[in-house]
Amino acid sequence: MAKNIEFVIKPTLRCNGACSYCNVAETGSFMGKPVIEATFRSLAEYLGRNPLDEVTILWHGGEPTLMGEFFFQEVLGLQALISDHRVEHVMQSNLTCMTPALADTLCELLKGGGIGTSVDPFSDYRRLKSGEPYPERWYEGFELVRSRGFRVGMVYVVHGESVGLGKSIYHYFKNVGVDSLTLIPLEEPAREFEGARLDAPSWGKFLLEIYRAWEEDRAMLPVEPFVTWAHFAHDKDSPRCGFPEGLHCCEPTVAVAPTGDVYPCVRLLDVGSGAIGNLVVDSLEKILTRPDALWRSQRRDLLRQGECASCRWWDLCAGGCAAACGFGRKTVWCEGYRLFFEAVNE
Amino acid sequence: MSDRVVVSVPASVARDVDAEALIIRSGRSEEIVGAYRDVGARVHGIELSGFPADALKLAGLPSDLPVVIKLHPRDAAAVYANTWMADRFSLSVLMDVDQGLLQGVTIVTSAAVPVILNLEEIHDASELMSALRYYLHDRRCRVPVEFFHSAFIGCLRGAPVSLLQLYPESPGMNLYVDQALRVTASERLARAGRFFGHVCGGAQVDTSARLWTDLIDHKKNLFVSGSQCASCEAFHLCDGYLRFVDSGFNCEPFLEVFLEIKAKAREMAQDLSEAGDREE
Repeated sequence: MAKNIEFVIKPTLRCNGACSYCNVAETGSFMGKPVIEATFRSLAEYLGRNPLDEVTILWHGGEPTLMGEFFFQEVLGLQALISDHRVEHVMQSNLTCMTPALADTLCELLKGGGIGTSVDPFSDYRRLKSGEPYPERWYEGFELVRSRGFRVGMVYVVHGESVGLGKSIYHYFKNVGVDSLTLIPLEEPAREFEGARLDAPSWGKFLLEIYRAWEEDRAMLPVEPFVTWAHFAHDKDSPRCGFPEGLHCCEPTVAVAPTGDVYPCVRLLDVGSGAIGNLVVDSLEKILTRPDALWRSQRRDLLRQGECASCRWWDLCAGGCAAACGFGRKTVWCEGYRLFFEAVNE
Repeated sequence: MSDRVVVSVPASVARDVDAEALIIRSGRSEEIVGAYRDVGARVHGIELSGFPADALKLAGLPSDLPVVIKLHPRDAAAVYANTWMADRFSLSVLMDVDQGLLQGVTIVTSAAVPVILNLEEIHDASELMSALRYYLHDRRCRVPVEFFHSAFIGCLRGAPVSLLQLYPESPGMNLYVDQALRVTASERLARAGRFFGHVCGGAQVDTSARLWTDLIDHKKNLFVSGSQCASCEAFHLCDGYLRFVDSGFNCEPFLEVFLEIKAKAREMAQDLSEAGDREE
């Protein structure tokens, strides 16, 4: 059976940002030529043997644009190895070091693919190491990529200060002109965080606030996870269901570190835990056949036999983010989801 | 300066301003006619402060010339004595937002003269909603009342048109010259004492002036400053126009009007869609 593979390449874990709630342990250096070449060769060999599989390559970090335009020009050269296959490139970037030359190169690489980005309009948790104002640099980068025709999706981290601002946050992102909005609850930051944390009931309250604004606005701006939930509510046989899919947590995920180490999930890579191979020495096929490459579905099976067995909201939640909660445990946001689903279904 | 920049100038100094496209302003017909004699084909429009008593002197100006009459609602009835102007020119009334607005709009539109609400002269917005309802629901209203009309049609088509588009303050497109030959982007900015240049032959602008950069970066400034406008649910119908000069401006009456426009446009779109479905 053909697979959809999410290939997350983190060419660096370094970042020009210093966001208070970042969950990436900023270590290591930049991906060298041998690793990026091995990554594309490995992918090309795999697709040669599995031509029906589809691959989405997500360029992630750290901040991937720190690699500069010449790195991505090299990638464009390597792209020839897989150009016969169904491969789409997308990127997650803070856009604050975007330049016209880099935007041009990325235009060629990402083609119709989009860029995901983040900004926090009402709190100053997002900062730049240079001391420059994050929102201004972000806005300039945003305008630049928009002028090149990129679709831009917003990933908004919901924290304690977000609660009560759901409607404003929805309209801010709609007004600024992003193409979609994805909501992520603030989980465990990599370093000490003294800001306002989010608890499960507050997450539910915030979801409800923004859902009401979204509904009132006739869903003009696509918001995840609402779009996925609405899709599922209308078509229960849909292959897309549950919060993880709403966040594009596809399985299998191949998350590649700057060293070529592979993890089954982006967040495990971020904390450097649970590598399942290395693309310089292992074939992709070998990595994908390791049992822990499918750890998320194994976790779901386990949860469905255990504490989530009788939950009427399972189809919408699917246990939540596996990496954030641990293998055998349900989502830490369970109470918030229940509050939300019950309120919406009243 | 680009040839496409339209410069609004007092008629008395029109001859001193070297620009390809002029709008000449005055309250006196003689002054307008005199200025037209001086600058002729460069005149793209005329703005009169009220209907002059000797308005007939304007009859010699080219037909179809866009003529805008600035009126307070209480003076609206004067339109009846000057209906010949609507036959001869492309006439519209720029009406102050003040007490009597509904009656003023009703009178002017009943003479088949389009109205533009003058958002540079907002004194009392309490009748704004009644005026909107008149425009939306009264069958006797057969000419546009701006900004209602463009905002409504834009919403209906799914491509909202904002106040900033309808009342442009883009220095690359519109300039405003005051009596002292200082240059800015609109009358309200001139009244607020904000300028970015002066006339010396042509309009000389200082692109490093604070006002210039504020105008160019207007949208960016709203989004990076956490301004209330950035998260306003009617932003697409305003673009921050109402609070550009006075950040404390009370938008409430306008917000209600915007939301009503959006709701009615949605209603009509749905009706049209259902009617289309029935036909199929």
